[in-house]
Amino acid sequence: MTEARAFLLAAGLHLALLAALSLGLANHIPRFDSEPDVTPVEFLDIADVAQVTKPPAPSMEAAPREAGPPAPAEMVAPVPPAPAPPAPPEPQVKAEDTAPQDAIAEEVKKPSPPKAAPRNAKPKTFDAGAMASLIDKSKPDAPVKPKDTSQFAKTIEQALPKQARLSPIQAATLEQAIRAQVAPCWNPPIGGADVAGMTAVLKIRLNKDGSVAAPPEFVSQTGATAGNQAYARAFVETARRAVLRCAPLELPDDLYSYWREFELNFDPRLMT
Amino acid sequence: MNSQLNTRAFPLLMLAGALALGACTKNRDVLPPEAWQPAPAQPPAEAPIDQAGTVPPPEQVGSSALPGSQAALIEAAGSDTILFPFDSYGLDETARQILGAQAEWIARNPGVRVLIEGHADERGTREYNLALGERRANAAKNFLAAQGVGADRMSIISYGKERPAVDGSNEEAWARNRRAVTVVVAGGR
Amino acid sequence: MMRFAAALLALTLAAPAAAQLRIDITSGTEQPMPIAVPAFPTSAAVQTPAGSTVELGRQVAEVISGNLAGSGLFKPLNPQAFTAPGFSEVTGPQFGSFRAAAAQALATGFVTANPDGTLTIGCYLYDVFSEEQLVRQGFTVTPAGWRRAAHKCSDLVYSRLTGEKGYFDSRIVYVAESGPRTKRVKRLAVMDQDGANHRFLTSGQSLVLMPRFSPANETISYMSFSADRPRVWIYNLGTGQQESVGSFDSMSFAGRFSPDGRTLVFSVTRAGNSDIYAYDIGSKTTRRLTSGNSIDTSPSFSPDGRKIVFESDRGGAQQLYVMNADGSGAQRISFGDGRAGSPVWSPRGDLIAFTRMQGGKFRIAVIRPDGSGERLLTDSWQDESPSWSPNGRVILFSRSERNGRSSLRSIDLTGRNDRRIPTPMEASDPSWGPLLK
Repeated sequence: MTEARAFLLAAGLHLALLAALSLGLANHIPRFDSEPDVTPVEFLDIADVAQVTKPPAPSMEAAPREAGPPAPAEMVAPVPPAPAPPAPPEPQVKAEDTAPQDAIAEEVKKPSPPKAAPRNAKPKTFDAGAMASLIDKSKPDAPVKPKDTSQFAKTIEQALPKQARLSPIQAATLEQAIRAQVAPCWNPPIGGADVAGMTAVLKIRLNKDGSVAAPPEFVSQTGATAGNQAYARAFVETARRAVLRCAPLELPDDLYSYWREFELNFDPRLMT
Repeated sequence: MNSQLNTRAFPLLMLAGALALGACTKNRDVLPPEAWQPAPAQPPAEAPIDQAGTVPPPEQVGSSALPGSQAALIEAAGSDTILFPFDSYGLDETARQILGAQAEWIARNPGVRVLIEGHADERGTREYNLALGERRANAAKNFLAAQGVGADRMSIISYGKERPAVDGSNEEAWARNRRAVTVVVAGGR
Repeated sequence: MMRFAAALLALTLAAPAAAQLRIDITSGTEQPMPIAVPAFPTSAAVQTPAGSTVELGRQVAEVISGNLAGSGLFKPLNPQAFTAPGFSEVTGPQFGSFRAAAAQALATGFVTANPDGTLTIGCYLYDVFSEEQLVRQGFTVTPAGWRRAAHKCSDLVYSRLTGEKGYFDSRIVYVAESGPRTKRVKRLAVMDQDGANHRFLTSGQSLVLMPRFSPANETISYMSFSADRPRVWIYNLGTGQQESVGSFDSMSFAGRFSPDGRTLVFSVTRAGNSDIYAYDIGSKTTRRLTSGNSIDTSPSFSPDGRKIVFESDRGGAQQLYVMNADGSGAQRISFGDGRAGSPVWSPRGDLIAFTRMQGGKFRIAVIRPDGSGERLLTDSWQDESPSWSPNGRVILFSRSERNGRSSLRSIDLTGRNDRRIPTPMEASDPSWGPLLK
């Protein structure tokens, strides 16, 4: 320990000496300029600056092993798999030791939104029957257009078992209440190159007190391509975050059976 | 305007001329952009910032102009400067008269070479104005050539909007900045 | 009817799904995302040539906060609002205090001194609500290079949360101005994207204009009036070497590199006519791309190198045109009121930024390469010379006031976040360099 410290100290002193020397040197090098008072940095001699910016670029080494306690399961489960229990603790990820691999490992490991795409299958079968009803334009893969409220109310009405049908007014009110609470919490990634065609659908499950019963589950996404995976993932995450951030939602108790579980279609195209 | 003369002492003029010439020569020697050369006696560029709005006096010229000098050109031709309308390089009657007189003077001073500077006002993008300034200088050069001035005695340069004659962001300033200036670079003794 | 059947089917086949209420969320907040960036802890306080690791940890967090705030997309929270994690907590922070502070994300990390005199700066990003680690990366740098590690960490955080590439580890070259307008002294200067490490490249003896970074490497082109011969130069920042471009007996200007850095396009003016030329830097050969008696200038390549946008007054007034890189097939893309100039193609490829001149004002605008979707982004007296951030998200430009003062500013392509870039003197003609390697 003391040896190591002594070494460090020595190394530090050497560096300091070097720095002092080179600084001194820099001051004697004929300055190309008689400058007014600006930042001191500009006096750095060129080699120095070039050096900083050229060869010794920061190498992408990952965190050293001694960094804190063995990292727990943090590397797992990036975005959705929703009903899954908290991701099984994985042993400390070894990829950590070399950064480039680390980065790649991460990429490979979490093709999140696209990964969830297969889940699409289920809702699809569910919707299959409804395909005939052309009224519903909100399906993820239908050419999505913001639908008007009356249509929406009708949709709910039709989708509900008859004995438990919401009145159109109730449906509209409920929709309004949810939208009014979630929208202000959503930071959509506007300005992205691919934002124009992107939407994401999440399934939300709430407890009776309005808190989130399970992490929002990824259902589907439009506009995701091989070229914009990072953006598509970030997009879905903003939607998830919006729900988690706004919970608990305040919704009418007597309608709990209707908002216990529902889907949100995040569609920012009207925003820019 | 420009032909307003003042009676400054002759020696002073000589000195100023010599200094100007010296500066010119030095500039010309600086070959590649001066990047890493030790700074010459150029004063720090920290000039007063509060110049906005003030109009620097026009170059003062002595009445007893040196033959073949800038002052002599101005005296003979009425002005070394012609003005242009907005976004134009056409020569109006006044410009032609001035240029015609300049051409006569140049003909009378066979040792003289001139550099014609083209300038634009600030109401154009930097790139476009460089091209526009060149068009103005070129228009002046073509006119002088048509009056018999040999092409080998003229060169042109465009400063775009980089060197306004007067500071200011108003119609009057703009009008005075849209110009071509005939500069004597080699005097006939 | 069908719907009812479907619901029944779902009830029996699938889960407890009662009714699939689906609600469209078509609006959100434009407020920047609150993020916590506490001082980076260290394993042991060690003195380095750049200061103690404790102090560096604080400075790294400051640089990151400054970058994120500057993007306009994030709002770093006051560090007083939460408890900074200790070194051992970096890999497993307690989220309660960050949640209480309304942070949506936590960017943290550590600074440790290595025996070989280098620093390791770790960078970790967490989602505060889901309590997941989103990304992490470590950087080994010389103590003097700590700012670059902070910039790289900023890029990591930015790109993970926005899904776009970062732009913080980059530099800006521009023209520093001083003196009265009639005798302006102009010097090339280069600085980090956040204004740090400022230095001058020329002394101000000669008028210099329009510096442009190569998107590929540490090279700039610029125009110098040295020796009263206004022309385009190429300047290698690493070696300090310079060369003038081509051998023209008349003015050359408005140089800009191709995306691969191998070609420089610029204008040459002769006898009142300005045309665009391409210069192959390797072979030093020049090819003329446009002809005709008009002002053709401000060429800028598309990121795939196949097209060039430029301005021309061939139709009577300054407008934008797109042509193939060999000079063929020029088509006008800008219409409408006023003139359009100094176009520059976004590195993302989807937009072209330019200067729109109308009603006596110069404003920065964007337009799609096909000429559709023109949008004005700024509104001031004279905004011009746009330049894109390396990720194509932010536009840097210069603004002149009526009193002649000029400064650098940047704006997000959404038209938000118009902010001043600090420079030691007045400034113009900015050009944003590529991400450093």
